[in-house]
Amino acid sequence: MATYLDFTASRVRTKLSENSCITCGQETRSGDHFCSNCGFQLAHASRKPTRRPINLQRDLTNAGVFTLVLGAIIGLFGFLAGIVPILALGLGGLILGAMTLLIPESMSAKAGRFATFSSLPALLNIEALIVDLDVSSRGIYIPTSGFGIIPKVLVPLNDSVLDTLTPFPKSKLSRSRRFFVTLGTGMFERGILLYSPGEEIVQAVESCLQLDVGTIKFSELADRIGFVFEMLGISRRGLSLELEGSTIQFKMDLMSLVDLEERLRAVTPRLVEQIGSPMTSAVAATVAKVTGKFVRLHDSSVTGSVLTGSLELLENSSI
Amino acid sequence: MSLRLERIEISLLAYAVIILCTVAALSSLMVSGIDVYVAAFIIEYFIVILATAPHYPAETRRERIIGAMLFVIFSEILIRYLIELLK
Repeated sequence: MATYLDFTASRVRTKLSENSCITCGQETRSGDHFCSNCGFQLAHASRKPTRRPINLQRDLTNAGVFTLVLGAIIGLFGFLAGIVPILALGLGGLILGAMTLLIPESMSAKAGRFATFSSLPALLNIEALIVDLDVSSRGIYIPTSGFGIIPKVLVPLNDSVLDTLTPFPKSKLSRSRRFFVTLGTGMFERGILLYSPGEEIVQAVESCLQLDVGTIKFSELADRIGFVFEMLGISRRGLSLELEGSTIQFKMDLMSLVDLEERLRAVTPRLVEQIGSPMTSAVAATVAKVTGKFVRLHDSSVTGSVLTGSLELLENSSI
Repeated sequence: MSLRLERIEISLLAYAVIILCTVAALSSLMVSGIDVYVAAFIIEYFIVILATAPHYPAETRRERIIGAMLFVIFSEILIRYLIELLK
């Protein structure tokens, strides 16, 4: 009995210790924000908040009311005393108060974040599929053209597929509705064809610009897409793209998708590494559409709120 | 410690600083007409909003509402001056 109690107590201690997840007991490292097993957000995560805290909306409302009332009092005092600069200061306070009350973050932005996180189960399914099939190849974004037609991502079942592929029409591949596609004659020359995790983002970009991103020149891509990313509240200072040979380095300062990026890195590491997170995938899909070349994700990482990564243009690919 | 401000917070801070500077500058120039101050605030409002755009679409809509209201006041001041000039 004593042995059983000792065992139970030790399990409880282990569960409550700072180095384990309180829901599944999985060991965690000190810098982890989410459990690598179940995805639970760890209580001891000590990262700096990268997005607006929940009560900031209330703080701004209080600040707005305070500024409005203060402006009214100062303005009234200036009016009664006949001091024009004081009256002007009061009017300025009224305008500032109105701005603070009316402009702050809308509920639609919060709903947007909720909608973003609701896509997590779908991404967990892709992760489970990659793990179950034990696919180690990186996904290849297939170039497409046309408004609203977003590149799909092909994940070869075998790394050698790329070297032995027989010519395969790009359009046929991009329009295929099959899940498993046969690319060559050998039994292992197959791949899985997935919708890009960043499809919705690319579609939102095309809707905002009202054009097929494939018609944009690569030299203008960063400016055009970066502007839309800022407008959609995705990134702060747009998007940076640098072409070096057949490698494209990208960088952006995320606003609203930082939590999703961090969480995906913890719970869907293979998806993030082989196919890319929604944001990385959106960049890869856009580049594939603009360049008309097959694009493979090389690497990506998030430091604070800055997402960086590199893409590889498969220029000599025979598919 | 790095302080990261959202665009809207930058807009509000910038506008607050500009209002204080405008009042200080105009009062030092002995400007006595309140409409001059209001006109300056209105022009500065549009400049600050444009300089710190874009915001979320919902925010943009609200900015436009405030902007439209302020523009009506600005137009009224201008029209009044024009009428006085024409008299």
